Amino acid sequence: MKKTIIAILCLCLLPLLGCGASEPLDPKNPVTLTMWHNFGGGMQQTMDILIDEFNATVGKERGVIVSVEAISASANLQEALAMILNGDPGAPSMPDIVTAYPKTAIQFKAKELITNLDEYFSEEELSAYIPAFVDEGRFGDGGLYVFPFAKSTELLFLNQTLFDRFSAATGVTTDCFGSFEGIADAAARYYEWTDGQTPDVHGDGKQFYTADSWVNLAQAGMLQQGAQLFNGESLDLYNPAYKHIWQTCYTPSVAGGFAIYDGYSSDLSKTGDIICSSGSSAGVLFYGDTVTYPDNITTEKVEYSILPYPVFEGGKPVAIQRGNGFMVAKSSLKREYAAAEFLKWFSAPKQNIRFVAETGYMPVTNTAFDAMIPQLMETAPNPLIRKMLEAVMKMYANYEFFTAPVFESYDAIAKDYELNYKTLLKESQKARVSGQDIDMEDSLAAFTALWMK
Amino acid sequence: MLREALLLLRRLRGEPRTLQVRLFAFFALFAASLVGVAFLLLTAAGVFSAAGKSHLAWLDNEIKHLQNSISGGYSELSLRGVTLARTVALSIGAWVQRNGITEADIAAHPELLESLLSEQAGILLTALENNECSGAFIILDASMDNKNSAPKAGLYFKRTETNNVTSIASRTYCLRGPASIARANGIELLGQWRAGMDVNSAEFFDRTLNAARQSGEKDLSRLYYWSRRCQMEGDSEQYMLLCVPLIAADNTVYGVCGWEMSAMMFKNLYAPDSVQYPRVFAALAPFFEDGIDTGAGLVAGSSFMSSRMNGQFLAFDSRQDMTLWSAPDGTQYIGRAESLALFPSGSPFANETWALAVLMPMEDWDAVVGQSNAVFYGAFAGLLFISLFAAVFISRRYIRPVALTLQGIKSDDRTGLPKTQIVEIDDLLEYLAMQDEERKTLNEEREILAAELEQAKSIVQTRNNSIDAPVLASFKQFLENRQTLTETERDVFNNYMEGLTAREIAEKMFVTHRTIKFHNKNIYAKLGVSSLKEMQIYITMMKEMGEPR
Repeated sequence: MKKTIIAILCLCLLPLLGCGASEPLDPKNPVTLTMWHNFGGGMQQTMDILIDEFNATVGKERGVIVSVEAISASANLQEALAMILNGDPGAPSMPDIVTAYPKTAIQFKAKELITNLDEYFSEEELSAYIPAFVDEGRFGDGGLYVFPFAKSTELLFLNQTLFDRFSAATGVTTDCFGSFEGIADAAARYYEWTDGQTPDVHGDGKQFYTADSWVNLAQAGMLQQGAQLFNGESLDLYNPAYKHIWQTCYTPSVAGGFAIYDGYSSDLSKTGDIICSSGSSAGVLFYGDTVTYPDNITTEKVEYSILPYPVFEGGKPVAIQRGNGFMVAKSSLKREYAAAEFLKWFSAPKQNIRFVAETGYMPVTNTAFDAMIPQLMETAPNPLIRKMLEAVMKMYANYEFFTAPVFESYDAIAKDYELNYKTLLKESQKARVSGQDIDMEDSLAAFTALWMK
Repeated sequence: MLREALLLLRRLRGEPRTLQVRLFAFFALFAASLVGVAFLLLTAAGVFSAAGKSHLAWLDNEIKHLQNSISGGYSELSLRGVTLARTVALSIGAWVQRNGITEADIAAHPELLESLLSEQAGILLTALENNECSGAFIILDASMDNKNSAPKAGLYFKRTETNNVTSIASRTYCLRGPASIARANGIELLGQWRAGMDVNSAEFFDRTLNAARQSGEKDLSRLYYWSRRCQMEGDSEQYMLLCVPLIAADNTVYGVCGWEMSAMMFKNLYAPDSVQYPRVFAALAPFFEDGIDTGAGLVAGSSFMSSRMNGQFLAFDSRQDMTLWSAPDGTQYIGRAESLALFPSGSPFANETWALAVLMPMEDWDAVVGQSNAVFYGAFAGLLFISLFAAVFISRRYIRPVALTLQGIKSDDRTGLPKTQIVEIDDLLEYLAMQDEERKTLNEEREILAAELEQAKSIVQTRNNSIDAPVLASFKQFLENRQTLTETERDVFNNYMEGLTAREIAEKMFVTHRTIKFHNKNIYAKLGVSSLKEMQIYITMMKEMGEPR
C-alpha cells in the first residue's frame, strides 16, 4: 500500500521535478548584456559579425545576448565613463561590458564598480592567456579587472612606392628607418628634394614623417636611452635623454620634414603628404593601398611596408605595448557570469585569431600567438595584415615592451603633452616662416616651462 | 519510478482491493474530477488563452509605437532633407552667380568643384549636427575628372558614434570628398575615405535624379527618395539614404543631398523593448506579395545586427492574428507586419511599399506564452497533488478505526476493543459483546442442563430399577398437579418438556427471563417440587413412561 501511495505521489510530483539547478544562466530566460566598445570604422563589421555569431550560437545555448549600445572612440567612451564614475547628472547607465584601459579601470575598481574576473575564470582557463597580458589587467589586490582580448604595439608604416622614388633619386636607403635620427636626416633630405622639384616655388617641400602619438614616442625614446619620461606622476623633461629626443625631432618639425598634424598619420598617407609614420599596429586598416593626390583626381596604387618601431641611436629596442581590455560592471551573479562567458568565447583562440586577422591587433592566447600567428602571416587575406604581423613578430623577438603608467591623471597629462608639443612646434614653424631666428634650446625651455605652471 | 508505479497499478487491477485503496481511489477520482472540471471551465472561459492575448496586445502596442516613431522620425528627416536641399541649392545658385557661370555649366568646370563643395561643407556639417542621422552628403552630378564614368564630386560626412547613449560625444569624419575640405574643417578622414563618389551602381542617385528630371514634379517634398539598404564602395557600414534632388531656380538638377540612417543608428533608435522578449526585433523593409525583404531594409533589435538579416522573410502561415515567417536560413519567426508609407502621395516612388514588422523567433514566443500559462498549469498540478495527498490522508484516517475493529473482531478477545466514536461501529461492537455474553450464558445453562439431565437419567435409572411405592405416588401426584397449572404455566412447562432453557423459553414466548423465573416459582409450588432440577426428573420420568403433556 505504501509503495502504491509513493508511486502515485511520484507520478504527481514528476512535473515539478527538474527545478533548482545551480547554473546561473537559463536559455529560456536569456540575460541581455549591454556593451560599449571602441572598434568603429573598418573594425566595426568584424565586431558585429563576431557578436552576432556569439548571440546566435553560444549565447543562444547558454542564455546570453550581447547588445552593443555604443561604438565610439576610446576618448569619447572615456568621457562617458568619467561621468558614470563621478555620478554626474545625466550620466548614462554603466554598461555590463566596456572596453577600457587599466588607467580607467583602476578608478572604477577604487569605487568598486567593476568585478574581479578571477571569480569567473579558473587558473587553468587563465593559463591559456599570455601571462604578461593578463598581468596588465591586475591591480593592487591581485584581482583581474581588465580582461585582455587584443594587444597592439607601435610600428613604422612606410609608403614604399613613394620612398623608392625618393630613394632612387637621392640614394637614401631604408636603413634610415632603423633610428629616429636616421628618419630625421632622411626627412630633411626629402623636404629638400621635394622642394627642389618646384624651383620656382621656395619652401613647398613635403613632409616625410609624423607620429600618431608624440607622447608615446617620448616614452619609448626615454626608455630606449635608459631613462623614463614619467617620474612618478610628473614629466622628467630635464633629463638629457629627453633633450636628445627634442633635438632629434625639433629641427625637422620646424624646418619641414616632420608633419605636426592633429589627426591620424593615415590621413596624410592617403593623400601622399608623408612617406612614413609611427602608429599603432591596429591602425593598419586605415592606410589602404591608394594615394589620392590634391587634385582629387589623380590616384596611385601604392605599396606599404611595415617596419619595427625605430630606436634612438645607441639605445636598446623598446616599444610600447598597447591595447585595452574588457572591464565588467559589478552587478548580479547572473550578469557577471554571463559577461565572463562572452569574454571566454570572444578571446578563445578561434575567435581571437579572426579578430586579429581582420583588425590588425595581436592575439592574447598562447595558442593563437604561438601557433596561429605564423600561419596567419601566410594566409591573412589582407597583405597589410600579413606585413604587420611579420613586423610585430620580429619586435616580439627582439624588443622590450612597456605599458603606459597607470595613474588617474595620466590621460590628462598625455593629452596636454600632445597639445602643448604641437602648439609650440606650430608656433615655431610660423616664426621660422616669418623669418624669426628660432633656437632649439629656447623652445625646449619654453616647453618645459609649460609644465611648471 | 514511473515503471514501478505502472507495475503497481497493473497489479492493483488484478487483485481484490482493500477498503482503503477503494476509498482512496474514490477520493482521488473525485478530486481529480473536480480539478478537471475546474480546468475545463477555465479553459472554456479563455483563461489560458488570455496569456497569449496579453502578448498579442503587447505586440500590437509595440508595432503601433514603432510605426509612429519610425514614421515620425523618417518624415521629419525627409522634411529636413527637403530644407537642406533648398538651402544647398540656393547656396550653389549664389556660388554660380559669383563665378559667372550658369547652373547648367557646373559640370563643365571641374576645376571649380572643390571651391563649390568647400562652400557647402559648413551647411552640411551644421545640418549633420542638428539632425538625428548618422551622415549627411551632397553628390553633384558632376565629376572633377570631367569624365562621365569618373566618380562624382561630393561631400559625405559621417558620425561614426551614432549612439543612443547621448552622453557620449559624437565625432564627425569624412567618408568622401576632397581631403583639403575635411582638413580645413578639422575633420579626420575615415579609413574608407575616397575623394570622389562612385555612384555608378548606386540606384539611389540615378533614381532621384531621373525622377526630378522626368516627373515634371518640382515640389521637393514629393521628390525625395529613401533608398534601400546600401553601402558605398569600400565602406564597411550599411545604411538607408534619404536623397533629395538639388534643383536650381532654372530647374537644373545639380545633384542630390540628404541623410544617412545607418543600420547601427536605426537599431539604437528603433529597437523594440526587449525586456520580455530578448530576441524581438523590428524590421523596416520593402514589402512584396509573399513577405518582406529585410536584405533591402534595416533591422533593429538587441540581439540582431544587420549582418544576420540578409534575405527575404516569407510569410507562410498565420496563428492567433499573427503571421508566421520563414527566414532564408530556415528559422521560423512570428510577429506582425504593418505597411509604412515612406513616400507622400504624388511622389514618383509612392508605389513602393514598405512594411514595418515586429518579429521574434517562434521558439521564443512559444516559450514566453508557455511560461505565462505555466503558473496556471503549476497551480492545477499543485491542486491535484494536494487533492491526492488529502485523499491518501483522509482514506487512511477514515479507514483506520474500521480496520482496527475488523482486525479486533477476528481476535478471540473482543472485550478490549476501544470505542471508535462511530455510532454504527460502536453499536456493532455492543451487539457483538451482547451476543458473546448470551452465548456464554447459554453454554453455561446447557452445561448445567446436561449435567442435570445426566443426573436425572441416573436417578430414573436407579428408580426404575428400584422404584418404590412412595416415588410412584409422588409421580402420580405430580401428574395430577399438572391440571392446576394455568395456561401460561402449562406453556412454560411444555417448553421445559421440549428441552428448552429458561432464556430460550423467554425468547420464544416474547417475555423476559425474569417472567419465566416468576412462572417457574408458581409451577414448582403447584407441582410440589422444590427446584427445576426436581421438575426435570419428573419430566424425564414422564417421557420415559410415555405420559402425554
